[in-house]
Amino acid sequence: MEKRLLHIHCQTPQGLEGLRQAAYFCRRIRALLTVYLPLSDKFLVYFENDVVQIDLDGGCLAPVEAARDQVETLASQAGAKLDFFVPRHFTSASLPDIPADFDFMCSPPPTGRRGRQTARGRTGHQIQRILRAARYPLLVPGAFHTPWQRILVLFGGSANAVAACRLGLSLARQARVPLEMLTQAEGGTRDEYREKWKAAGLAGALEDGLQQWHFSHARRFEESLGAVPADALVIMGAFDHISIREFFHGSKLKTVCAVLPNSLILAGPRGATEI
Amino acid sequence: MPIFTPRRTLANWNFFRADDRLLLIVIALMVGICSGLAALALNRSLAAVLTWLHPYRGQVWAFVLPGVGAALSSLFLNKVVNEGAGHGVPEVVYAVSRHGGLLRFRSSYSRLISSFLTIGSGGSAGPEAPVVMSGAAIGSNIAKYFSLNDRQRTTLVGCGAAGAIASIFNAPIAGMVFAVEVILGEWSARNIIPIAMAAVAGTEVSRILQGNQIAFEYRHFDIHLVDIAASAGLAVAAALASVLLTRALRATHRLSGLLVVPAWVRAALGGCLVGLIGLRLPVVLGEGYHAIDEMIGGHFASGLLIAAAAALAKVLATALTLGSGGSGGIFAPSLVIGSLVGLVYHRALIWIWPAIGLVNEGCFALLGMAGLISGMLQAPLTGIFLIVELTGGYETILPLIIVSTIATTLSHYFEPASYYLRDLVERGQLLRPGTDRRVLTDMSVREMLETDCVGVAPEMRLREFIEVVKRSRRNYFPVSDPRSGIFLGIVYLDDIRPYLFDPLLYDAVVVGQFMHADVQVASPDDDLHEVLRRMDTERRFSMPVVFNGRFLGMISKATLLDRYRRELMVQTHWR
Repeated sequence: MEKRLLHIHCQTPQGLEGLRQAAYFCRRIRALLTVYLPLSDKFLVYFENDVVQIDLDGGCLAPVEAARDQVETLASQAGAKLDFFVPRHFTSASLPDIPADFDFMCSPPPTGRRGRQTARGRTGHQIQRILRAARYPLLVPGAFHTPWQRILVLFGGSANAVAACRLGLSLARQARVPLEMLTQAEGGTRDEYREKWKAAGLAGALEDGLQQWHFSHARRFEESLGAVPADALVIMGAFDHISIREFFHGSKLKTVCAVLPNSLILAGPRGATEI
Repeated sequence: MPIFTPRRTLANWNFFRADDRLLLIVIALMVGICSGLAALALNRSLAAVLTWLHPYRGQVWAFVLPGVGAALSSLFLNKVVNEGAGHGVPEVVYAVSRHGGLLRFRSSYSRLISSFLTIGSGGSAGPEAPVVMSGAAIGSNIAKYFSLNDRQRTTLVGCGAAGAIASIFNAPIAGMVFAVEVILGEWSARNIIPIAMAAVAGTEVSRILQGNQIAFEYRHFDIHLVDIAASAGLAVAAALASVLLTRALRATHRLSGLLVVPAWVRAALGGCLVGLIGLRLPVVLGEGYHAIDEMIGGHFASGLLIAAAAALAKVLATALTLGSGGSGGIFAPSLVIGSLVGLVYHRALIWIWPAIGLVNEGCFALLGMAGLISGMLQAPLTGIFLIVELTGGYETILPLIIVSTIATTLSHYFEPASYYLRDLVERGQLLRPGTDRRVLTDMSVREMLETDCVGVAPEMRLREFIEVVKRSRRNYFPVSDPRSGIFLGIVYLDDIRPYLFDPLLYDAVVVGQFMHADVQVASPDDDLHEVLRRMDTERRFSMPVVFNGRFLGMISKATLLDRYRRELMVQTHWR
């Protein structure tokens, strides 16, 4: 059965940009683009051990027929197979339930003035909750749609980064694009990172499939990110640490979101989709 | 490699994992304490604000107070915490039914604040349902913190509800019974022990912080046979009143939905109307426990007609408050209306038959409360134990049982489900543990897929098809377009029987000629209950599963039965 990506449609310029990127992603990996046309400004996603309320801006609520036409046009332009998700269960009349059994989810459009202004204010509380609870990775659209021609994995050696590597390998194979990797040395050597591949059983696959490994010795992570090509889909693990550590050391994810304009795939601690 | 990997959750600690049942009891105590504190916080703040506003109640302008409170409550729920309005018990039951008791963290405080605004300003509603919602959400989120499984989480949701009810009424047995009878719908040893512990903890919190008081002063009633006989008539009156209240609540909710104004304006309008009623009949304002105490004590001064008008006015005020978007529950209004119904019934009987020799009218007020609660919740045990514990006496137990059971039975005749559960029943979402529908809901079409079917093309000749049949272990063969992969129909082995013994047809007939093109199909996202119903209607033992036009596999009753049995064993284990 083909993989499915859930996209929450929002009838705003940012929302349509997200839809374009989601449709392109689906075409590349031959997944089914499943679009939910919101019925109300909030909905619930029930995960295994958490329920997350997603709040949407009023601008996301467009007349269903008009939105449907627009989604169909954009999906057909991108060459993606399309399906619409219609909720069957409701926690209360204005609170539909969205199942958590998709294979990917496109991150919901940012809400609030600050979120809209930054365009990539993508690591808000909602997204953190989804990433921590979901069994699927999250596609976070970039500021502008750039057809990606390669996949780049940010690998720092953590358990989530290993999951991101696995996901990168699968996606690169599926989309038939080269796989690259970026590692900030942080005092380690290439061999030490290779040992981590080996421990995760990825050594063989990465030796064969990895086209380029950017091994950066830059002092600041922002400088290392300069090596990321503009036409790359960036994959990284997210929220593999507790918030206190994030408070003291800062979050790499936030840095990536602030610096890179690329589309991102974030794999949370509950694992990544097997393709 | 890191030398120290922090444990992600407390639940992973060996100390907590030594014995799951012990763990559940310890956490249940925590949940009971937290939900008890939440209930107490709302109760004390309501008492404070009602006392503070009391001197102003007589002023003409005071009719706007419930309107302002309801509007603020609506704004808080819809704009600040962005949560749907309502008292929340159906949401708790829905979460227990469908999602293993998962509730949002915001629910643990949102209804406390919104109902404080509604009831404190004079709206006709009770704080019990909001504290149940709050306690249940506390239980759910503590379970989430400890990474407990669905069954343990559901139990803790019940613990939260039990702790809250036990604390607010100082009534541990009523808390336990309510949690099991209304929230969980399942009596099992696995649930009862933690719920009992939570009820004890909630009650003890209440006793430590505000003393061991019963809600209504204890009075001794001498019950005779004539009172027991008369209580049967009261049960009928209480059942009718509960049906009236249920329908009034639904009607005002429907009517207020027709007003094309923001939700907070609707709530304000409803609140102001309640305020206007309250100017003439103050008994309709707020929880109304003071009036109940007067009725039980036999000090309710108003006459028969005024009491009857007050009962009707309280029904209207409650419907206006909750139906227009105010926040609160129906427990307290039901108690007030029930006591008024009991009082009116007693006085009417005395008026018709002065020599009847009934017990004091306070006793009938008590019985009326039990009848209304039982009729509204369709939960007789909750009604009985609540009233026994609220009044601290067992003398009335026999008429209480009669009133509660008859009122429950009669109201069920008019309303197929309780006020809390009716919406869920209508939406087909009430899935009680151990029921057929619940077992089916916990399985999915995707899990049942049999993918070892051999697909064929419509152009395939019979001769080739017979070769396929020889290799296959199945009696059905999906037909798909070889170019697009689109599912076209299905061939059952029985369909080719007429052609099998005529070799002349082997090269003359193709699959497309004998396949079933208009076959019923299932989608992987369909509910199994619905799929099974369609299979029964079609008298089929199996059905193709098609997604996005492509054949995925078959679903069969044999596989379903096998999985059903396993799921039932899982669900009923440890009962």
